[in-house]
Amino acid sequence: MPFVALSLPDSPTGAAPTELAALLLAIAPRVAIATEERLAWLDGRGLDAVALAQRALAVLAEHAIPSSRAAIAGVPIVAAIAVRTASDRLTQIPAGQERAWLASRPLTVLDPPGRLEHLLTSVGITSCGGFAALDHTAVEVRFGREGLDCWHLARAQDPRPIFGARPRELPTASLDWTEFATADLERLVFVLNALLGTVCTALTTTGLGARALALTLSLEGGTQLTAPVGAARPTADRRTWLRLVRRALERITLDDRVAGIALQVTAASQPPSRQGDLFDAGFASATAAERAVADVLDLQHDAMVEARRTVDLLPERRVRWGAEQEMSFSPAAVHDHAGDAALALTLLPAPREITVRTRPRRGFAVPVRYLDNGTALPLREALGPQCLSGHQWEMAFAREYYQAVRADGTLVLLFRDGARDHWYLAGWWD
Amino acid sequence: MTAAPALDLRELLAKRFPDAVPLPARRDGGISTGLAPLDRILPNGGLPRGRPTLWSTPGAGATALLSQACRAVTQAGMRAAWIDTLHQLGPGWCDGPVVFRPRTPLLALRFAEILAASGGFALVVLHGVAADRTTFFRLSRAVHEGGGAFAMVSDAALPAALRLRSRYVLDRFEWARTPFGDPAVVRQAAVAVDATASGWNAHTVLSLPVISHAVRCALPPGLADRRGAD
Repeated sequence: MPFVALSLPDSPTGAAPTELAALLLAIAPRVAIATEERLAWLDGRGLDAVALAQRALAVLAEHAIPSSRAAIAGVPIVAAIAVRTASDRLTQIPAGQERAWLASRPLTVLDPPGRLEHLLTSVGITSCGGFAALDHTAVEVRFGREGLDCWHLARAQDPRPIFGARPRELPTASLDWTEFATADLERLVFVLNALLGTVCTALTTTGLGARALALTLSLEGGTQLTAPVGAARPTADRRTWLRLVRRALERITLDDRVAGIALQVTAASQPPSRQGDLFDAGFASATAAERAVADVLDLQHDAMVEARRTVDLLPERRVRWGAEQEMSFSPAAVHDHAGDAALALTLLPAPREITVRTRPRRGFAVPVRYLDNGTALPLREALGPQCLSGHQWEMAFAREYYQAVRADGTLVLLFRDGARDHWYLAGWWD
Repeated sequence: MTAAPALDLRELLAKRFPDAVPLPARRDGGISTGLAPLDRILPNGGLPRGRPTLWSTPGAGATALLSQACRAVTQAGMRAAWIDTLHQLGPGWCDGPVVFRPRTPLLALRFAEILAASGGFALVVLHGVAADRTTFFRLSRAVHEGGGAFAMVSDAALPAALRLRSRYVLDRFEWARTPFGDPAVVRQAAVAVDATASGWNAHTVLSLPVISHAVRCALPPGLADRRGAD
């Protein structure tokens, strides 16, 4: 007998609906106020519904609503009709007797639309029991959708959700400190590690993996800074989240010192099924790859890099390697890379100065051999020069590049710095 | 489960998921390099799983061929990792494998051990580290544990299961010449690859295009250059 319906006066003389809900929440776990129907609903599941209703009536009486009545039923429509029509202060419909109780009531208690009521009356149906006895198909064919809805109510079938879905409680953890404040990254990470332990344990016990966290930093000045942190896959792995949270923390610019940290799981779902392990080579290893990368990043947080290409003239400035922001471990991240193998230029981290012997060719000094780390390396061919100059307002350069083939076949890139008249080895093709 | 039902189940799964790669198949066979001539000379048609491969001649096409192998791996839906110890990858690098840049050679070896032992990467390439024998044995154990392919580019003499050597074929360079007849740019080069394993060796020659280092008037990437052929 889960539903307790309480009637409210048409013109409330006492508490407002919100105040009323607050009063009733003190005695019932869930409360809903239906202002149009002038009803208050209490969730009596698992409780002594009669005692609950009596306490509710007493509470209402204390707050200037002495005329309120209560009804207890397992079906909302029955409880609502009972509280409106019964003369007793407390009406209880036994479990399983709802349809029988409703059968003797006139059809008007269901508030059917006027047209439907006229149709039903014209064929001699005036009670809920009479309407409920009709066949489903006959009702649907003759009275349409609204007739069918009313027919279900007449049969004490009312599946409407009186109480909203209970929001899922996602794990959260927070720590505030008042005696000091800090902006030191390592100290914050230390605290976050402990908070993540709480959050990840809570996730593990519920069998969930977090997809997103909200990291909230309470600053000394009283303001709060919230940063979302997302993961490629739902996970409850503490080390993975510590890596992601640390990376998010590194990107935040703090205006003030931190006096508190809170972590709230904002999205969680079941970890992906490992059924694919048997079949899909890429899918199978997602967890293992993620853990391995997390271990690598624990050793060096900026170890995973991605190329960011520029259009600079100088080869060494044409690509910059920056820390990769995020790696997706799902097969969707696999790109279709076209193209066959090709010899590409690999560059020394910084051009290395070399000693070069040259010969003249069409006004340029073309290298014929060079000395690198004490080794003399003759050149079969030197192609070029490609004369480059630029960056006049920053670091002006004027270079003559030669693509040279060494005697062992290695393709190397040499250049002469025109400003200093020095030769450098830039890299080689590999 | 006896053998017959297991075989029936395997057959049923193969029919139901024709594109799937059964787990046992991942242990058998090699990791294809994406280059048919190279796969033909390698045992099991590719880089061996669970055993290290040593490319003992850096600077003669090793990067080009192994990066192609990495791309072939990613195209097959698996993962590949490239450890760039010497920070030498240049502007011609094509995305494909996950690239790691360790600060020190020791970290590079540690990365290689973690990635190879994880089993999450079908191919791990360690470029530019001169490991000693003890370290190499330790890496070999990690590779065996992970079951993926592992290639190390180093000129150190190490006892790898498969050793590859490459060199340029001097008389097979293709040049583009200037109007004066001087060589202007190398278009293509031939690389000879020798593969050696215990009691077995093979040889092949591959022609590889050479990506030019020159930028033609610094066109933004993605725009077509419509100013005539080079």
